[in-house]
Amino acid sequence: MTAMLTVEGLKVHFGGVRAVDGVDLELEQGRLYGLVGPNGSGKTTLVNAITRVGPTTAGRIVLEGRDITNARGHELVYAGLARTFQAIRLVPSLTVRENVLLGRGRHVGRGRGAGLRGRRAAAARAARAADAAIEKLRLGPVADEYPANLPYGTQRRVEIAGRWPGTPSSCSSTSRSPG
Amino acid sequence: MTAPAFITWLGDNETLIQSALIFALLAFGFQVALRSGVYTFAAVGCWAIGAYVTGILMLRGWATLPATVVAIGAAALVSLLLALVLGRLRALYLAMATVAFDLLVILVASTLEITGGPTGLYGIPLVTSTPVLLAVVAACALVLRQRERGHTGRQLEVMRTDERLAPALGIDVFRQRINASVLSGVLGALSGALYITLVGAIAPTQAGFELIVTTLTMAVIGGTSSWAGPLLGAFVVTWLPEVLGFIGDWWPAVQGLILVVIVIYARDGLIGIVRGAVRRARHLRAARTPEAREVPA
Repeated sequence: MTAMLTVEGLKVHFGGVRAVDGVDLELEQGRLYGLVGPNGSGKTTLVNAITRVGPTTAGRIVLEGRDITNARGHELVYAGLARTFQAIRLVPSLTVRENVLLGRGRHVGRGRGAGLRGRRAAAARAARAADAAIEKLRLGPVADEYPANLPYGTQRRVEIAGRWPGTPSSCSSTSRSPG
Repeated sequence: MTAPAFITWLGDNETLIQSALIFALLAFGFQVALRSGVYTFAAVGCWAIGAYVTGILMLRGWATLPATVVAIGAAALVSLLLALVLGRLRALYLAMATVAFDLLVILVASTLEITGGPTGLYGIPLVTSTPVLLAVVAACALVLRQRERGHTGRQLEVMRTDERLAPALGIDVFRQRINASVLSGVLGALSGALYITLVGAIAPTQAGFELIVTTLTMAVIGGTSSWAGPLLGAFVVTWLPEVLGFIGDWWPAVQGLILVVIVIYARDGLIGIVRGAVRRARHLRAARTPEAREVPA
């Protein structure tokens, strides 16, 4: 069907431990999914494997018809798959806006052949996309703050703003919630 | 100080200025890597490669520019291979391995006949002048400054602070680490090539462990967060022994003491102290301005 992300028979084994053992998934566009399970059931391992942060023992991952099973971590961002982390990961020495801009890397550098003018235009596009994401997640008032000065929930919004579509087509995240 | 007096002062201290500029280039090599979270000290080994290759070629009648270009190319190639071999090493382990590389380069240089064995090379034409040094340092500072700003600057900041986050932001960590390593080696080689055409001689002992420590001291005292750090650090570490002439043989101890104090009390080095002062001054001014505006209204 019109699955955006397909996972077939995904296995992640650590020696004798079968953390993920033959998972099949089909995620459709425009929907929000949740992954539920008790502690240690392999939720994070699964997301790590899909986003190429962790290892994969066997299986196939297809994003919009493109096999990304062996893609390298940074390539996924350009393919349209973004992720956040269980514990919030922001760069403490950069402001909220700069942190959001970081997730906009794909707007810059792609037009390498375009010369200086092309790079300026790309940087301007990235800035506009970042401003739109900041607006969308209502981070305007704190755009020039440093992450450490913000409450946990706001920090999470900053992280999400950095992955906000405008480019990536799906967004996966493991969130820390009690129980 | 009047203009003629300044020129006299420059003339009196030209050797020190030249030495500081040569060191600044080498310290740039350390900073450019550390700034990207790559703990490589291979720039010192590349310094030796740059000096020796330039020297060997010029003694065989090569012109300065082609000799320097070949020397830098050789160092870039060695840096690339080293970065590929040590690609998986991080932090302290990478530092140790690159120090071993530096010592290996010296060992090879002191054994081979072409490098003049333990005596080294001498009689190389003295073609480097202060203006050339200034121009090269300025050009390199500009390159480093470009890497610290905008998109590239932010990417490298992520690599330094949280390497696992970097791929999730589309950063090719492997490639960026190699870029930083090669740039570091090139800066080291450039410094070495300029050194040998300034002094006209080199011996294996000059590129030893002491050079690693001195250069690292310069980068750390100045601050590794910006290109201005190693430049400032190079001048301070070169000049202090002159100013503090009375302490004589105690200089290494004093240098160690300064390093310890900086590392404990000013992690961002002298540049960090300067930046902090500027920021505080700005805050004070910003705090005063609104009141000043309100009074006439």
